Amino acid sequence: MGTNNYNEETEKTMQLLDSLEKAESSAYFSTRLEARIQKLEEQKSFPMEWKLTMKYALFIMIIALNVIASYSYLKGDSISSSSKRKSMIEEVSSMYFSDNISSNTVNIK
Amino acid sequence: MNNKEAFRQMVEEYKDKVVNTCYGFVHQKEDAEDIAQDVFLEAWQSYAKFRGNSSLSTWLYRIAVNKSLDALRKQKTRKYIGLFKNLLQLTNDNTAKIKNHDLDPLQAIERNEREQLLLDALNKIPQNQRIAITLSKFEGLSTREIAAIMETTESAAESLMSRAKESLRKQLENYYKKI
Repeated sequence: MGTNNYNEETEKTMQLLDSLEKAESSAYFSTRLEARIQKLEEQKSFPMEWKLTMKYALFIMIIALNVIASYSYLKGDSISSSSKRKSMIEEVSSMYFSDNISSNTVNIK
Repeated sequence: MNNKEAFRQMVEEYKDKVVNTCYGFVHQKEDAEDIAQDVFLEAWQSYAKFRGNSSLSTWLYRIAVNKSLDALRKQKTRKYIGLFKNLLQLTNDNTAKIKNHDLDPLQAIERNEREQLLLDALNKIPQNQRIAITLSKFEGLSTREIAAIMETTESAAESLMSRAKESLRKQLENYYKKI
């Protein structure tokens, strides 16, 4: 391109500086901003650190509840099975002894 | 009037100006709008602290310039992803521009090409010059306002603008010399 030509082209392009396209905000700009501000305010009133602490506390509580529940279940089961055994022994022994007593009585007779 | 209401009024008054200022730096409408949102969010967080040492508009423009420059820095780090995104968005923007201009299609295409060249050249000039010329040409701010935003003297702002024009001219001349 010749000197005159590139000078001319440069000037033509430079002239556009005064008529550059402008941008405007979209129709939902304010609504979106209000929503973001509201979210920000909510986060401020209930900060992330606090949320994390709550999550950990909840997690530990769930684990503790599980441990307690399984311990009491196992303990309860063992108690009930031993008491069953005890009652069965008592039943059998009472039957046995009552038979013996009655037979003895018969024998005596 | 409470703080919330005053802030809402400020948003209504300045939203277009802030979006346009950000657009002057990033040259993409969606990005400009996102940055403008961040500008007002920051303004909301520090609104109570604003003591009126500078005018409200100067304060907002300053946040807008800083946020736009931050966005440009981040864009550089995400260069390759950004490049692809820009290509897609530029295509959309160009179509929009062609539709908007009351020119015949050929003239519209030529104008778009020139505009793109100019914006590319703007991206290559030194940052201070770029801020000054962007505020002047996109937002039509006076030298005094630009000086206040850039926290410098009016003569320094004036000098930055004339140097910016020189730098732009050189960039364009280099481009036209090559073709």
